[in-house]
Amino acid sequence: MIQPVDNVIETNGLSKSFGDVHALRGVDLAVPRHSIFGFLGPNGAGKTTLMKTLLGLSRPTSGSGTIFGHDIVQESVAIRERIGYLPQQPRFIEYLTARENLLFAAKFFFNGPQAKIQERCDEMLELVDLADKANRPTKGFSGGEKQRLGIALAQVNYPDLLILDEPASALDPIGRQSVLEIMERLRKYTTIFYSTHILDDVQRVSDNVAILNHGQVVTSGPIEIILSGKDGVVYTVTLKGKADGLGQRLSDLPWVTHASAKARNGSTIWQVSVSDEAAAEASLLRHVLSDTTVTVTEFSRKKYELEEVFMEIVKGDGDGR
Amino acid sequence: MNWRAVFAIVRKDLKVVLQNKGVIIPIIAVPLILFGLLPWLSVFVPSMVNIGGADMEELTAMIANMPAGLRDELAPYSIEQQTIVFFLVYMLAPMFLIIPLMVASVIAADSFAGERERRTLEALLYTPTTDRELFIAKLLSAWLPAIVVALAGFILYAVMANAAAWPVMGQIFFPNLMWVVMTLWVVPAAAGLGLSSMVLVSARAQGFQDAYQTGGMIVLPVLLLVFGQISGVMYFSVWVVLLLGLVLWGIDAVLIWFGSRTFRRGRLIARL
Repeated sequence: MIQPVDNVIETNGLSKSFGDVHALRGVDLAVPRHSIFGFLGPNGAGKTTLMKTLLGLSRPTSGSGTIFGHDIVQESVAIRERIGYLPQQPRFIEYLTARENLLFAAKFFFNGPQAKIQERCDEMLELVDLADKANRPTKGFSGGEKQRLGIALAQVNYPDLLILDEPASALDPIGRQSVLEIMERLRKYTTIFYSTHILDDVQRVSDNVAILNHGQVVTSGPIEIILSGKDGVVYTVTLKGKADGLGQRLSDLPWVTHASAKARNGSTIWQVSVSDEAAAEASLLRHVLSDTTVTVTEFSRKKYELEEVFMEIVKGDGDGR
Repeated sequence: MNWRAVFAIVRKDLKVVLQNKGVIIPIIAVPLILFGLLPWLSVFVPSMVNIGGADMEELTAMIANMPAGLRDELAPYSIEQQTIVFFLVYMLAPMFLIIPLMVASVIAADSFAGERERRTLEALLYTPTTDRELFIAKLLSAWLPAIVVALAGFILYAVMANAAAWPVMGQIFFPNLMWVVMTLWVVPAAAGLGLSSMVLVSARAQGFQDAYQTGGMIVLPVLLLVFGQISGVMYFSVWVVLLLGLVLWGIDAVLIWFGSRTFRRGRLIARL
């Protein structure tokens, strides 16, 4: 029996307009429990609007959404109790130290003894590598330190869902690396839903991806499916030497749907789309090597880069307009 | 109502206020000048009049123009004592209301407009609190310290007024019933007026300074009360003070109702 997918976030036709500006247009989203869900889109695509709508800070114009089964409009307080949120540019009370900021955030969630709350705050400071700066006012914190403290704040209530709005986009490579490592550490405790336009980060840590453009989800699913591309399975064959008639011979094979070649650095790179993966694995290379005048220097199943997929989808969707 | 969260916000706001010199200096300096210094200056009035070559006739004439109720209140005292009681008990009474008004409005300006300006309000909007809890927390953040400062000012004034006037009065004459009623009934309402007007001003202000300058006009009606008392149009009897409190509480209720309508997460987040 197939178990139904347990989704933390579900939206149905969620739309939000500001006058004539349609920030979200019928967004359907399903975020599986315990996934790291990368929410991609160019600037102005509607990512932050969607996050604020999910948090109950902005009412949808139409459509609906639930988080943990709670309605995002009617039960936003119950939702925020189980969520940790990191805004795009986290701000802290500058006079307070990192620990005092954490203690303040913790007071919204915990009623227990002060020692236990302190313990949780220390645990969070350790998690984000800020234990040595715990007693410093946040006024002098760098961008990376602020971002890490923001994650600690978002995580202080043991959230079942962590929503991060562009957690690494304003950071240098070291800061980015450190934020991604923290996200990977948190993976076992919580579901992470985060927005970004840094595609490398998504490819590195995400299990699932949705791409938003002009307020619409243009593609969504497990990252390996997204990266397999819309052309199905594609093999790449790099050859040296002349290969007259190879294109025709490949096209004649019943399981080859498309074959194209381009020259690069004295080699020819063939991309062969196939409909039968097993047949291709068994005999594609043999068919190529049947021409004894050519040498095969590389043969592999094509791996798409997320950037490639993203650009293709976003451009195909109207070139950002 | 999540009171734990409400008081967490109140404590945090107070902590921030204590760190902000632009807020804390007027909160300390104004009561010190009004209640620490003025009693000592006021007791010199009779002697200054004499030094000026005049006699007490002018002061006597002024008191004679006061409403009958006030004249009855002053009747048991000698003419020198009457001058002191008139200044310290009645003339400065409306000025006392400046303290809760000023403290509440300066903290409210910081708490509403200032926090929005620093963008730290945003973090509060993501907390698991309702709009009403956030609004109540913000009101209490300004209202409670205003009451505490006014009470401290009242005690300071009581000590200073009796000490300064002792050589002339020879007895503890302050506070009278009117001051007790004013402190317990009108001061909280005046603090409410300061903060509720600032809530409305802050909704449109660009930042702390803008809100504070615009909201500062709320002390103008207090000056009218001072002039009303000097000119003899009215005086702060117990009944006047009770009525004043009632009017202020009514205005507070209306302003807070309007203020609560502007304090919605959706609206606030859109302005950040």
